[in-house]
Amino acid sequence: MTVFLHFNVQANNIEAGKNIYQEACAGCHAISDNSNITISERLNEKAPTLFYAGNKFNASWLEAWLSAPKRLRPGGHVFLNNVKVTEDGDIIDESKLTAHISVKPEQAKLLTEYLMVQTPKSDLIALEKVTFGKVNRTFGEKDFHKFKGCGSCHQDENDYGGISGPELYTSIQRLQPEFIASYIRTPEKWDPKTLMPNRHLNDNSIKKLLNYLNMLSE
Amino acid sequence: MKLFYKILLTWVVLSGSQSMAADIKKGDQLYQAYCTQCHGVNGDGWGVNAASMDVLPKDHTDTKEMISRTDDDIFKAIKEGGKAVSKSNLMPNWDKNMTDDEIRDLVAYVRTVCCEKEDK
Repeated sequence: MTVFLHFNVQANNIEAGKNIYQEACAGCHAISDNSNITISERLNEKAPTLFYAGNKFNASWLEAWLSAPKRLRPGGHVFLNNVKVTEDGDIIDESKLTAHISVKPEQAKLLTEYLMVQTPKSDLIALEKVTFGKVNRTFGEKDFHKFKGCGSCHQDENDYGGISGPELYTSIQRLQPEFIASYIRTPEKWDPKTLMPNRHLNDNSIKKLLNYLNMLSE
Repeated sequence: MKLFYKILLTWVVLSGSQSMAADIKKGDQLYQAYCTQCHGVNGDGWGVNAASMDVLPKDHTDTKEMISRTDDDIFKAIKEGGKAVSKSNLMPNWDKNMTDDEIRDLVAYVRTVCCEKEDK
């Protein structure tokens, strides 16, 4: 009986979360299958897809962030829509960046319950086994910026690194490690029109990057 | 010297005609999507990420430099990355982001950026 009641409460919460999503989030975030998205559609997206949110985020981070969101993408979701060409090179036009809405903590909880059951890519997650190990900071930095080129588009500390991709210095708090590993391995299987290249990294290379990202979060 | 560049430019345009089917408009869109983050909206090498990079992205408006590259060189650099053409590893391989046909569209667009300007 207790189990049944718990199931019922959870189902109700998910339904309530879905209603909040439709009212507050659906205007910018898609949640439907993105397998056949075109490059034009991808470039016109206002915000990242939530199609696989439950395979991507850490629930505790997501719930807290929805009540007090902070910018994760220095250039916005699609940097191209916020670029200004200047004599000193291209820059992000800060006036075009909008703040993410925040919701009340009780709404954040319901939204998180709804988003965390969006798990269409669990098969990709199941292929990854992540265990963290030690890393030398100097090597990790060189690997991130120079050898793998991640730092060209991503920041590994506040205001250091590229700005067209999401910052990665809080990535371990916000993302499931298996998601990060899988996205590095085959980004196109998550987002067919991703702006991130698949650099054909082997298990060991991916592990080194994960260890470095983990070190940044400590 | 001017004549030399004219001959080279003619050769570049003629070699480009092998891929007459390439769609420059599509190439433009792909360039904006994938390349401008480093190479800049105008292709001058000063994209939004350039400021923090160890190696400056190539200036695609540099006609002298770009006409020394064949379409095959540019195709290979895009598909397999800078390392495949003895350039910087920071230029990634885009083989999983674009099909070969799309890369050919992109090469055709790069040619318009670099090599279809008035001879000054």
